[in-house]
Amino acid sequence: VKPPNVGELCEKARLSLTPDEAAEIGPQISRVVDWFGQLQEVELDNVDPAIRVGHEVESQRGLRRDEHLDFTEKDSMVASVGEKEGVFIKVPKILN
Amino acid sequence: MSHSRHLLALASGLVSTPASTGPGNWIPPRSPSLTIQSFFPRGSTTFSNMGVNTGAQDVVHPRSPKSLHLRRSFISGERSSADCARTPGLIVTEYLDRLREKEPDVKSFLHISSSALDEAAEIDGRLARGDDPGPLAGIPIAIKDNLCTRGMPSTGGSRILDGYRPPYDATAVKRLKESGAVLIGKTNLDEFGMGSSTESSAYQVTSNPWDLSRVPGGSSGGSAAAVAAGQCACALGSDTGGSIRQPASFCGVVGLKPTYGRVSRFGLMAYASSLDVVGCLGTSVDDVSLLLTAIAGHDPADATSSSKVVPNYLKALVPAKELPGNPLAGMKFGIIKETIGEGVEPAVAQVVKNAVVHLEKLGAVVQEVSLPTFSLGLPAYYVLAASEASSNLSRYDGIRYGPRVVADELNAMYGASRGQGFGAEVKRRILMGTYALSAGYYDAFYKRAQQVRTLIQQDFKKALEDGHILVSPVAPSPAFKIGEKVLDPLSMYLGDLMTVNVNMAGLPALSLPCGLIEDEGSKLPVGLQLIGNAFEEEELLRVGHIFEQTVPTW
Repeated sequence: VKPPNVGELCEKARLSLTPDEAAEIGPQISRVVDWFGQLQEVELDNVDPAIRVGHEVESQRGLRRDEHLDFTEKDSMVASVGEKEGVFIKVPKILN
Repeated sequence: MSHSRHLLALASGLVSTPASTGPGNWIPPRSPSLTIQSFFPRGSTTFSNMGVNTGAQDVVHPRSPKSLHLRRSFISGERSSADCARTPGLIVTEYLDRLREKEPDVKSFLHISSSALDEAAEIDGRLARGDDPGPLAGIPIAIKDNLCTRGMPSTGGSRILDGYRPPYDATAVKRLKESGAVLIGKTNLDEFGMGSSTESSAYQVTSNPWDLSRVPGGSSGGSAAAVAAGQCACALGSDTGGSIRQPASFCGVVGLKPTYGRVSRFGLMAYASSLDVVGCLGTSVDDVSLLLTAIAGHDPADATSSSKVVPNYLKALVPAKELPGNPLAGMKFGIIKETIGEGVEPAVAQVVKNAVVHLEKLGAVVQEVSLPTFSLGLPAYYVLAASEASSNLSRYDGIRYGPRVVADELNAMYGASRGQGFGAEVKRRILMGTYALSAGYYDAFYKRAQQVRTLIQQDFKKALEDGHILVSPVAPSPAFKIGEKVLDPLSMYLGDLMTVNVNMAGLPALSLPCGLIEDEGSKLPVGLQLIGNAFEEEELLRVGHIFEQTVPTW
């Protein structure tokens, strides 16, 4: 595995760091990732990966009924939005 | 304990301890470098009476079920020594006064409710009319700021949600309101729950009421400090890798991490969805039981919440005077070998071993058990938690909520809003998680972490199958100094050794104050961790309650 490349990771995570931040965070992340390396040294053949906790969190009700529910908080949700124009949320243009 | 003295103590916010019916006094061995102090002195109502100078505010006396006492006094219409009824209005006023008095030193709150007195007055009215006040009516409760509260801001301790007012209540919050609780404010936390000291809050550093130069623990440090300082009767927190238990241990209060699925996560700002739980903090097991009964249960809005019936957790608790001579006879406990050896401060290991001796005196059988994969849990946890966090925090994009940084182009806007809105620890975890989930790296990190998770679950299952409740310290040390670990993230992570595996297995665990350690002139609490089988909170609470009522004076 290649060691972490902060620039590439920031691109993927949509996170902008200042040069100073990047210089500081790079070694910190590398140190932790090295520490993760312990996981490579364990014998794990024939062990299933656990996606969730060990016990069943069953929900007896299963799927909800296919019925229309009114959501009454539209206004307060929309109130949180930074920039609006009419019924649209306004964002900067997308360049690729 | 006389009636008027009890109520006078309530008025001062401190309640004297019930008489212990436990085993007789005995002197524990003293550790050479750190001395272990009495934790539950008989007959004293405040630590200043003990001549203890913590350099801080009087810390609330432990083992006093404040919420339960309040509830009983509201219902019975008990009168205080000044011959006025103990009403919610009066109690909330007292708590708000004490909150404000201590806040400049402790700084546990990010927001104080402006409607608390109105809500209390409304409950006064209902009580006066003879209406059922609800199981938590009038009780002032603090809420960790990563739980959404409609009436109050919810920041998650982050600048990226500065000013955000959720349009809904978290289910746990909603249930507290329905039970009549007065939500007194939102408490400080490590940003989005990521941290073990509350130092990574974007807003302020909370101090430990036992020693203001030390951390309260994290990430629910604000909630733990607020309970310890008597700024609220009890509090809600969240626990992903120990975030309720470790601050409870550092602040000398009781903290419960319920089974995954016991309490709805709806409205809890997600950090790691397969590990997060909502839980409770209080000054005694009674209060924590009361709180859990109110918030637990299935929620259609949380697909991971369990439909298992919620018992009345208070019913399992037996008052000290009704306990038989050997109240833990027939019970088996397993002290986790990997948690009391290397890597744990000797004084902490000693306090926990003393607590184990106490359990034995109560009739329990305590054996050493080994969980061989124990130490692997820590790196595995951090891989999983960082990976899930990198996904969960992608919603914070500056568009639908929170501050937005102006930019010409969308990706630049995302990058700048997130870069400026998130703190250093959150950024580290997002980037580490992004790395671990990158194409081609899944096998090396994430999958292996999940496999380790399976092994940890198997180890626990085996240990608990033998009918044990597992015992360990909560943390390898007592509260450390503010600033001591911020420069080295890895050293901070290593302190989570005792707690993360419990989240990986989804099990319930209780952190109980079990002793004090003296360090550089300060008395610092140490917590005992009890771990049980899934959905067996009743058993943990029952044992914890017996322990806290009978723990001997040293």
